Amino acid sequence: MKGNIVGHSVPKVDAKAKVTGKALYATDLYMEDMLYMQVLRAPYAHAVIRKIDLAQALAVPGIVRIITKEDLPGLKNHGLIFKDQPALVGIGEKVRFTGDTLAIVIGESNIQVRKAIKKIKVEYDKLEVITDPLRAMEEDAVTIHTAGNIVCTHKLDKGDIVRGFMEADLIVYNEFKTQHVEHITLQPDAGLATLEEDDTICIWAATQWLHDTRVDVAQAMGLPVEKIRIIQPAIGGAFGKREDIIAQLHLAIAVREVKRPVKTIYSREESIIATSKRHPMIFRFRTGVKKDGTLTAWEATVIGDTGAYASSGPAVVHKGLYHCTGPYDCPNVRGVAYTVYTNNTYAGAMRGFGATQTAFAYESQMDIIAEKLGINPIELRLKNAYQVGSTTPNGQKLYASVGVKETIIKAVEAFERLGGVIR
Amino acid sequence: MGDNRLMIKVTVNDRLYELQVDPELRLVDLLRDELGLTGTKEGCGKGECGACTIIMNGKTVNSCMVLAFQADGSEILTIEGMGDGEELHPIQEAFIRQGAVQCGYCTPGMVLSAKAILDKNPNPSEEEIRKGISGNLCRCTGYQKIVDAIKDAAEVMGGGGDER
Amino acid sequence: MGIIGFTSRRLNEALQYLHQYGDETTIIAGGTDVLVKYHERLDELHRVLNIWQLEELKSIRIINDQIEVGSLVTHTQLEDSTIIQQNAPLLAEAAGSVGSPQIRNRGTIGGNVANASPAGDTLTPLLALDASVKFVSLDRGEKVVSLEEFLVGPGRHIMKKDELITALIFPIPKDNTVGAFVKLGYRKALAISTVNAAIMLGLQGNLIEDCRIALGAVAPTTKRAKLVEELLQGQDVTKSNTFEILGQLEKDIAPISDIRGSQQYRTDIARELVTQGLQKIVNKEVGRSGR
Ligand SMILES: Cc1cc2nc3c(=O)[nH]c(=O)nc-3n(C[C@H](O)[C@H](O)[C@H](O)COP(=O)(O)OP(=O)(O)OC[C@H]3O[C@@H](n4cnc5c(N)ncnc54)[C@H](O)[C@@H]3O)c2cc1C
Ligand code: FES
Ligand code: FES
Repeated sequence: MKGNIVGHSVPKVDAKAKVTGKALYATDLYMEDMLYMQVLRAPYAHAVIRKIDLAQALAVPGIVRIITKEDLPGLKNHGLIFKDQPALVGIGEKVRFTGDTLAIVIGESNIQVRKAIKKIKVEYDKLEVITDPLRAMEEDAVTIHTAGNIVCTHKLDKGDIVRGFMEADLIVYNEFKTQHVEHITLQPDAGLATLEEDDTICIWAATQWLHDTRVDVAQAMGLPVEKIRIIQPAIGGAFGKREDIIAQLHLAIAVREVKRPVKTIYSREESIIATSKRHPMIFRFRTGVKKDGTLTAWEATVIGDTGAYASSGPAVVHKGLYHCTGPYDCPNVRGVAYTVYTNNTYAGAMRGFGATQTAFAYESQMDIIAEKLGINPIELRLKNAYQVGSTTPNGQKLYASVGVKETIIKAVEAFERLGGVIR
Repeated sequence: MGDNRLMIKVTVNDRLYELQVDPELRLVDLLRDELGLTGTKEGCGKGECGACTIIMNGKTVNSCMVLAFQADGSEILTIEGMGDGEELHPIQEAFIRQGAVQCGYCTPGMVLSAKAILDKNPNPSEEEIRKGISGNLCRCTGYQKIVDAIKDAAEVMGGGGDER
Repeated sequence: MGIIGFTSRRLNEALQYLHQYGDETTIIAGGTDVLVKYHERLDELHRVLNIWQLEELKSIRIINDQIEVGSLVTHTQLEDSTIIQQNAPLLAEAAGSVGSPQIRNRGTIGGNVANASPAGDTLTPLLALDASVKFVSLDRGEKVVSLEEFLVGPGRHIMKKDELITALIFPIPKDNTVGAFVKLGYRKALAISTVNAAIMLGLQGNLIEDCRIALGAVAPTTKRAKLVEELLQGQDVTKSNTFEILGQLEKDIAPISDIRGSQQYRTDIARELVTQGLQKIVNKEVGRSGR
């Protein structure tokens, strides 16, 4: 049967709405009687909150309501993997990064809300701010969450690492570090919520996981799932960031309190301060290799900085470890990955989900090995590249569709076609 | 707030508006919040991203970098004014045809920058195109398809294909 | 209360407004600096005087042996102007390197000068062109001060709150002069200069007869490298000892370390950029300044 979809270039269903400016993103939703919401973020990256004084803020004309944790003692934490993130931090509780929320401010106009936020006074006791995951892992480091600073540990063991190193003619050790990366979805975070007659909370906001967001918002607020509806407007980019709850929970809390439609739009700065990042990771690789370039052993330690909250961290850092040899076959692999809390902005999913960071590390390692052995770096890669029958570090046998070698050859051809010279 | 409002006249997409505006209102807010023209997007509010690009008196400007009252007497084209009613403008068609639209948040600004490029030179070189869209960030496409779309539009609009 | 806005349509009206309210007024031209500075806190502005509609300040003219650029001339206008391209191509190039097309369509030369950023891209060519600032107040009338004296610190100049820049003026460069502008930023567009440099050379064959070098983002203000200028005088531009002489640049500058670069980096880059600028001149990759 011949169709007109598969094998054809098909215009996106919403392309016309997007080129005409008619597509509605969360930022573009307006309702009659709508209020604006902004939140007060933490004054310090790690501190115990002692007092939140709302008096002056409440006096700003147009302010309808300011909600703090004291209004919602039953509010539960949320989070994609572990429920470790509070939507509001109350008196006597800790803020763990500068994006934590102390108060939800709702008013008739955005300008008034912004003014009110500047007038809230917060008293707090500072704690040690940990920005380095290595410091977080030290015995005497202050604990960011009660269970300790190591969120979780993953291990990997394939073949016999000791024998692998014994077979090696050369052992190369290096440490690689990557940095935080911000997704910068072009649409800043935004959302609108309404309260229906039957008390159902409807939330329009960009999200990648409607169902997950729905369940998490419901459990945090102690509501049945049916009372939460998530509606997906057009999304101005996500790239993994929008797997996490961003404004949805604050909007739900706000709309339930004020019973009028509530809208929020983050400034770009706020998006950067308060939402997830690509994990910075530290990779320590010890690689054993024969004179001819055959890999014999690969030992890896991966430390991922997940910031103040776990988010997708355990899965992302774990992937970072599992991809530690990249597309190269090594019979003996051993590794450990630590997902670590710090007082940095929390890190979560972003394009590649941990594999991106690792690529920087293993490709650098391969180049260094090639240089030490005096082998052409492309040959070294082709020699070790996965093929049908190879086994990944976590024991997955590749039985079909393994295109690494062809990809490398084609990439080299393209590179040379464009005038590149391989030394 | 109402006491300090200023009276302005602006023509937006061929329609004349006489409006009272707050002096602290930005043009992007006027277009979006007061005239309901939400095709103009705000991505940064600081002139960096170009999502709020409009054409004002024939030139592209960031509408987040203009106070509404400064627009008094000007003629403005927003994305809603591109094309002719239901008919798309050739640039818009080319964007769809070339797959230059992904999340679409940059698209209105890109389309207007593309129009400014082609208004200045109907047959632009790739370098001119890239320079012309250098004030518009796109996080999705990697730009190539947008460049292709602008070349395509130039051809369709009669500029003739230029392979420079 | 809210802020108070006023649009002046004639220079005199603007001066009168400043005379009365100067102390509490922020002048706004293209707004590309003001609206960034007051992002999300526009309510903190007290009075805003919009001068964008002052048509009389929007032209580029040759008056006798000088070029007068109205303070509201935009970067786009500078980039496209034949007068500037023919007489001061380095200024056209610098204006063309500012921000993005959208920023160049709004940002003005007067705003760039009044903003007095050490990284301001038109300031180095203006210094190299030996430009002066013309500004005026109702009380004290018109003043013309060399740009060098006008700039006193980062974001600081000698103007009073009731004064307004009307033009930038510079002598038409002599026939034997050539200029170049070189900028290093983190991206090709939308990049504030990490360091920028502008050079004007008066040449007798290959011999440097006269020389002005201005550097940006390496001191509290954009500034001339006077020591090196002197050392270069009488030298052959094509000879390699110029690079050695440029090693002395560090005595002319006082860079700071910030997000765009460390002190050492800026020092090295300043030398590199001036070298590149001289190279551009030697290789004739620049239009001659003289007609
Ligand atoms: C995204 C972005 C990128 C940028 N990139 C660059 C760059 O690459 N290089 C660069 O140099 N700059 C850059 N800028 C800064 C800015 O665009 C320039 O400094 C521009 O020339 C300012 O002109 P304006 O008319 O917009 O100034 P405005 O913002 O209107 O004013 C700036 C200052 O000057 C005062 N002022 C303005 N006109 C006068 C006058 N006639 N008399 C007295 N005072 C006056 C104002 O009160 C204010 O203090 C960038 C800005 C943005 C937002
Ligand atoms: S919103 Fe105006 S340039 Fe980004
Ligand atoms: S299509 Fe998403 S930012 Fe350009």
